[in-house]
Amino acid sequence: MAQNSFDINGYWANGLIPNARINSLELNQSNFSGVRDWLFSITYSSEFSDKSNSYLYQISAYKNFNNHLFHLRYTPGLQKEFLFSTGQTILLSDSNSQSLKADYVYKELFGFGYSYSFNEKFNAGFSLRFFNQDFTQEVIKPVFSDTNYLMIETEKDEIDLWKADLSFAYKFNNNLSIYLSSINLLSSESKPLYDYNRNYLLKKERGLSIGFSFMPFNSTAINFNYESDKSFSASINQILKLNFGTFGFALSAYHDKSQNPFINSLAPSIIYSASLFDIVLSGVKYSEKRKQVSSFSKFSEDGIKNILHNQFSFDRVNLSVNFKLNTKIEQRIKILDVDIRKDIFPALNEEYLDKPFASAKVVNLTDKILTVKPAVKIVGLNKDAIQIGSYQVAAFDTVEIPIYAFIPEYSEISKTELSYAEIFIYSASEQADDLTQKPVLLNSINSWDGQVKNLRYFIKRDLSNSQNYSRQIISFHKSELDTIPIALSDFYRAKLIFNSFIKDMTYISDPRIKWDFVQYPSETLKLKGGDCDDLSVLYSALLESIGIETALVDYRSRNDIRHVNVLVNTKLSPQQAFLITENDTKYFIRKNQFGIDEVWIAIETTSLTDFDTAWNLGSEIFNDEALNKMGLLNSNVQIIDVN
Amino acid sequence: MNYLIKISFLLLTLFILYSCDKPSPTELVDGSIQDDNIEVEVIAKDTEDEFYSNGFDTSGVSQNQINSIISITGGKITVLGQTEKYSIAQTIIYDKSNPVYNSLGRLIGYKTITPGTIRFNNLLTRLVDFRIKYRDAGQILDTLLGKKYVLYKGRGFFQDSFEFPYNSQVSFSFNPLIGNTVNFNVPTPVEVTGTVRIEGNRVQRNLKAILEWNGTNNPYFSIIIGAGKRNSREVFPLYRIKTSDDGRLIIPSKLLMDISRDRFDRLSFTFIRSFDNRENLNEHNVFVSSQSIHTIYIALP
Repeated sequence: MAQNSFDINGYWANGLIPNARINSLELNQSNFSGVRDWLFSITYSSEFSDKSNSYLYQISAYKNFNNHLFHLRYTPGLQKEFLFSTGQTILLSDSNSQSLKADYVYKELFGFGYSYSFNEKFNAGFSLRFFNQDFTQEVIKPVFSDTNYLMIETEKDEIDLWKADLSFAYKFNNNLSIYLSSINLLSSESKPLYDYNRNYLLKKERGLSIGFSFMPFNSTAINFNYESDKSFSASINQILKLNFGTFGFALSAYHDKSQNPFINSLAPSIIYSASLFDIVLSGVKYSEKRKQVSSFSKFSEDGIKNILHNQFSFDRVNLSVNFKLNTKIEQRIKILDVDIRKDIFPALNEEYLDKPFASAKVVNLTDKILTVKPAVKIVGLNKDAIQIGSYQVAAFDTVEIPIYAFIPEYSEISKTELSYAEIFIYSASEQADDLTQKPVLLNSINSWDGQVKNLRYFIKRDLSNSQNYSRQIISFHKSELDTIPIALSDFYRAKLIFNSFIKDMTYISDPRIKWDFVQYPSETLKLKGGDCDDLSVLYSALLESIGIETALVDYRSRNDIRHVNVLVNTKLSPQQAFLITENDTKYFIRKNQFGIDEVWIAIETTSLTDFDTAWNLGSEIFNDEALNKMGLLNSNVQIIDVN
Repeated sequence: MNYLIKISFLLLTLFILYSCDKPSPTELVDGSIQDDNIEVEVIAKDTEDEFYSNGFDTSGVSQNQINSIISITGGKITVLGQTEKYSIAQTIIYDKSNPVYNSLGRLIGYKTITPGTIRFNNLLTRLVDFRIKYRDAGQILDTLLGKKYVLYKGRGFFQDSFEFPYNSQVSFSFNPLIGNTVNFNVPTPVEVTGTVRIEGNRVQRNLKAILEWNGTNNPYFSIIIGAGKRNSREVFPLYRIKTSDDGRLIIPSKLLMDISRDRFDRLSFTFIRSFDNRENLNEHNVFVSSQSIHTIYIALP
């Protein structure tokens, strides 16, 4: 018997250098790390007994699907053959004798491995391996015919064996990881045809193997493994990272009770790992001289447990080459967390172009400065992920980057619903380095975030409809307007429009609690009613569409019940104010962009009477809240220009 | 980097070209497997030929028919648990100038001669007819080759007082008609006592006979497996198996499975421990054998 924990590539710490332990199903089922996408591996071996033999040892393929790693291995060279005399001799009639021979071959033909990474710390896996024991023995066959004689007959016994094992690996931190593996946990073997072969079957005692890897430095590892049959192995690994790849060296020592001396073998191994391939040159040197002729009693009494490494194994050298076929781009940026800062209001589309709706905490996994481009797709709103902005992240740095949403101008989201934002992070290629999903509230097209300044988005939408409506009113009163001085044109147009539309309107309070539901101007006209937001938006839109400047006044100090009304720019100078009123509390002076004073009047649309009443009421509210209570100074009242 | 890829490709190509081999086998040799070492020889070349059914109370049943022999045997026969003992001391001296052939020209023996008197342990031997049977042209023939010297004690009418002394010696004395008396001692082996146990069956093709005996590591030890013909007292010695005198042997199933149950109804296992030697007896080179024999009959499974 011999220990299971013998890896043809040497005993390497998991994760110290990618793919070093790649071909070990013997005790490495839980090795998740290393393969990013596809990996193909081929190993040649040369054995040195009394002569040297070279042969193909194994071909294997790996595939990584996210946290799943699959491994298929074909091992034509994983076999051990024994030739011996059966101890039987036939004396032939001519006094010659013929000894009978036996040829016992143990093969491991195929292996399948699977491992799953639960998280960065915990991996688990299993292996399934198929063995064939091909025993051929010559036996004496008496023939009774005209002449009795003895002949030699060959009895062939092919015994199949399946073995399944589990393994777990846990990484406490970057310095210490442990692993636990079963040995011969499950096995299924076909029955030998001949009873005398039972003694020579592969030994299948159940056992456990436990080991640890300790990395005192980033480039050094010390490994130790102990098996329940009291065998152990130990190794030291050292790697050197260079610009063009990584070099590694391992020296492993093995002990088990069936091999002499105490340390039965030393196995040096070197690896060169580049981005597209790895080359591993490994070998094993047994402490005692291994000859091609050995003891039958040692074989019949102890048998063998491990085909690759046993008391009859020869010194060997192995060359493995791994080819990495990465259709997936190596991850260079990783998303640590995403914080959704605000819900999505499709009506406020321009707001999202310069104000991020979320932020992502990302880490640069490389030792280079990277340009990171975030992209987002809001399910139900975007057909594709839209990339906005790019940011530089220093090597190994963790930063928070803003995530902007792109909201199409004419989104038709009829009702508010919980949706998902898919956030992608790109570094260089067309394939995202990382992605994550976060729930986000996708509001309807009529939803308003309560920011009065954002009512302008409702005003500006469907401006052509508003314009048509206003023009119809103006046309209807054309003769009347023609008689009015040009300076009073805006004032009277505002008055005519107000008196025209308001007479059909009804005030309807908004039942929604958190956010207001704001009607677009065309909807308010169609529904013939709305609350203060809706009516203010409508009136503002009707005026803006024909070039009359408006502003919204946001009153915040009214017992938490916010209120909005409209300021209209009459374009009159303060000296001309008397043309519309002699009451100086009914207008307000604001400077335009050129610093020239202009007369503005406040209109309370919810008065639902006529322009003069609405003006009076608007002036009262404005005077009271903005001026007398100094709302403009203490920000309880804000004036928001629509343009 | 390209340089490394080229080197790797070159190495791989070399390995592929050089790697059509397979792992070296290990040849296993060891003295310890002598325990089960056997040397098998067919004795009865033709079980239809009664020639081979001549008594095989000596170890040289067929081949020794043509060699002069001094044979001293202490024997036991066990049938159905009952064991009978017998002792035989005999000398057969062939006249090599007087061969006997069957009708097909096959040598079946030589005429015997009696050139003097012979004593074992100072007991004078009797001269009795020495006949052999053989098949000739489908007929079983009985031929008289001449006389042989015999002392016999056991079942039957003629009894001598000769008793085979195990683990001792027997004095041999030949007093020729012309010439000097030849005297020498023949050492005798330890008595052999064996058992036979049959395991398995023919249906499962795992029939085997486990033979055990009091092993003494005597250098001359063999086991003869014979088969008894149905409805006949004749027993054909089929195989001689030479093995070490270590006390145990498992007879491979192949040697038993193909013995026809139509023709045979019993098996005999004869344990033979002997001391063999050669002596010159009045210009005749004589094979000298003293042997302890135990024959066990069992029903053919």
